[in-house]
Amino acid sequence: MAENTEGAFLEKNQSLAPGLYEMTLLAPALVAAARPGQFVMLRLGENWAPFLRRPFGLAGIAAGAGRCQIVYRVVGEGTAQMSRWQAGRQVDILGPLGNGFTWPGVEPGRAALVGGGMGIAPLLPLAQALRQAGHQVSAFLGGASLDRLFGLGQLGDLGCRAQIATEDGSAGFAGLITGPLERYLLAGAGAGRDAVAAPGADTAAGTDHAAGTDHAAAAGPRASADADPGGGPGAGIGPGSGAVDIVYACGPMPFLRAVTGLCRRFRLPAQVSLEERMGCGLGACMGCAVKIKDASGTIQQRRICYDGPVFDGKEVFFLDQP
Amino acid sequence: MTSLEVRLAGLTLPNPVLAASGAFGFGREFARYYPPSVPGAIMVKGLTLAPRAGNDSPRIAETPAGMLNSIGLQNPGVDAFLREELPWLKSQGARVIANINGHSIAEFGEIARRLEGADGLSALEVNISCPNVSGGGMFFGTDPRLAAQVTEAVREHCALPLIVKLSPNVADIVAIARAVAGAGADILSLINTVLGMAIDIKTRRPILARQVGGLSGPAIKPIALRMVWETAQAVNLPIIAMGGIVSPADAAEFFLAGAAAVAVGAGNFIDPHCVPKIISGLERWLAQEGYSSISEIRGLALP
Ligand SMILES: Cc1cc2nc3c(=O)[nH]c(=O)nc-3n(C[C@H](O)[C@H](O)[C@H](O)COP(=O)(O)OP(=O)(O)OC[C@H]3O[C@@H](n4cnc5c(N)ncnc54)[C@H](O)[C@@H]3O)c2cc1C
Ligand SMILES: Cc1cc2nc3c(=O)[nH]c(=O)nc-3n(C[C@H](O)[C@H](O)[C@H](O)COP(=O)(O)O)c2cc1C
Ligand code: FES
Repeated sequence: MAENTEGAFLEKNQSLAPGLYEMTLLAPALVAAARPGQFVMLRLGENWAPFLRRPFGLAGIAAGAGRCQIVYRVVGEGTAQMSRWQAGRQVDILGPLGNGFTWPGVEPGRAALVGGGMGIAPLLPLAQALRQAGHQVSAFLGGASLDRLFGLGQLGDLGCRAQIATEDGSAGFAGLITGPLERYLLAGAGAGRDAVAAPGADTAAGTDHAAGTDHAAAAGPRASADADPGGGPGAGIGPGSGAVDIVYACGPMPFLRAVTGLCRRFRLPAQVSLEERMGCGLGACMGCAVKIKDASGTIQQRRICYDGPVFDGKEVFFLDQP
Repeated sequence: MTSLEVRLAGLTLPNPVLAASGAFGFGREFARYYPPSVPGAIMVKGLTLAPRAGNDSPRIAETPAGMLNSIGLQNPGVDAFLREELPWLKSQGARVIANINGHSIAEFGEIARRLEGADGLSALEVNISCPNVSGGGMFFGTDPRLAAQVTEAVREHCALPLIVKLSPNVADIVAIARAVAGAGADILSLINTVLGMAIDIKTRRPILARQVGGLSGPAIKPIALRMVWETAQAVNLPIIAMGGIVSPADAAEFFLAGAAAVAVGAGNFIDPHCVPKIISGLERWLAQEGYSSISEIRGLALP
């Protein structure tokens, strides 16, 4: 794994919405080695205030220009400090860290990117990479309210169809984004691939794909489908809901639990990116453990920072999962 | 010429800056920053007889100038260490110290027996001070009689230099130090983490899943320094000092308090180059001040 410890140059640090910021960093060596889904550890204040580095996913990777973006929400003292940084300063950054998302480079496939809150961030460079590799991308973005969402314009420019949901109903579907995702998968299951070839709407209008489906259909959406959906977007046509070949998701744990639940139901492969409090971000402290159920059913503790943050959706063990 | 070489009992190290147990894994993760042969020695993650999954998450909580951890000794077990980690560390030219943890006195002895004669091992560090496991752990480190019994049990199977790692969570660390010295310890390590906790005022619950954990980092440096200074006066064994060391100046303070070597724990997390920076910084400082070895400054702050 290429590794960079040189400082980065802060080019821009701008507010996208109240409490939401985007940082643009010039860090050529780091960016050249970075893949979507990887993260960085930023060192913040002087004199150990705060003491630990802070982990952030890469929200933009421009390899040619040597630039990357971090989109962050102010939630505590560390992110508040970051929001006050002025362009022109040196930033102590470690990375790229972790494994990142994977996809096959061959046959075009159809990917659904599902982001909850700040979990949208690592999906943006993923969308770009998938589009560049010729894959079709549908995005499903959820948040508490419209001003918690970001990246819509970028996804549109990339030719991705996006649906949004807000918990307060300020835009798109009122509720959790798993609602529109479920309807989309069900519609695909009912109508097959053609149903989603129709131009998608930009917002919750897209949820009308769900017309004509009901819960009974949900019980066995692909009772007639056969191929094992193990291979990712390039695995070919047929498996899954008929609308999607693979799901990529990032967001809070309850959100990921719901998304992986849907993926199980529709027998879709999923890659999920997890979060936990981190001591080192380097794999050395065992601080960021998550329970993973391997192929043999054994539950093991794995390090999110080193073995992840991206895991196979089938392997993540949620405590309240059957 | 300034030399950083130090000799602690039978242990000769090219420099006195070690990587502390639990903060450096088994050395692999830092190999992308510098070779495992750079630290004076690597004290590997705490080993147990059987593999351990460790505690539930969250296991980390940040605190002012430090952090709490309740990892719970997640490790692959002593046999996997011998099979998979030690040969690699040896091939990299690292000096390796095995940190060992038992649930009972007999188990400490059994782990030492399995490590007996292992190729590439420089010393054993007996951890009688882990605050993050129930049964064993710190329990042995808070009672002089039990601490001595553990030391004897390990000594029986240990021809290598035997280090005993002391807990700061005691009223009188000197009493424990004397007890393990009498039972055959060659070197003392101090301190392990200080018991503490943090509460999330939003959820009104402790942050750590296990509620309490061990505090490390600059926040505990004054405590560690005082304990090293007290122990160095009372017990005639070399001391490996740890607790909040993140800079060459921190390390120098501990040598002045009587330490023979130092180890860096949480400092590795905020700067992966912490150990090599302390090594070169110390060398420069010694030369600047006109000293030619660590032993010349050792204990200068003692009464
Ligand atoms: C792999 C990974 C990628 C992330 N990517 C992003 C991103 O792209 N954008 C973004 O806004 N946030 C992201 N986060 C969350 C971000 O790290 C936290 O919001 C941030 O550390 C909070 O710091 P603070 O000092 O403001 O908050 P405080 O609550 O004061 O922090 C106290 C401690 O808790 C830790 N902590 C608090 N919240 C989280 C959290 N959600 N996850 C992990 N540790 C936390 C902090 O790192 C610190 O050690 C990511 C987290 C991880 C693990
Ligand atoms: C994440 C973490 C894990 C640790 N695990 C162990 C361990 O397995 N065995 C042990 O003897 N000490 C362990 N320690 C204690 C350290 O080795 C060291 O004694 C202590 O952290 C004080 O040093 P510091 O302030 O430089 O971190 C651990 C410390 C940390 C921070
Ligand atoms: S944060 Fe230290 S091992 Fe992952």
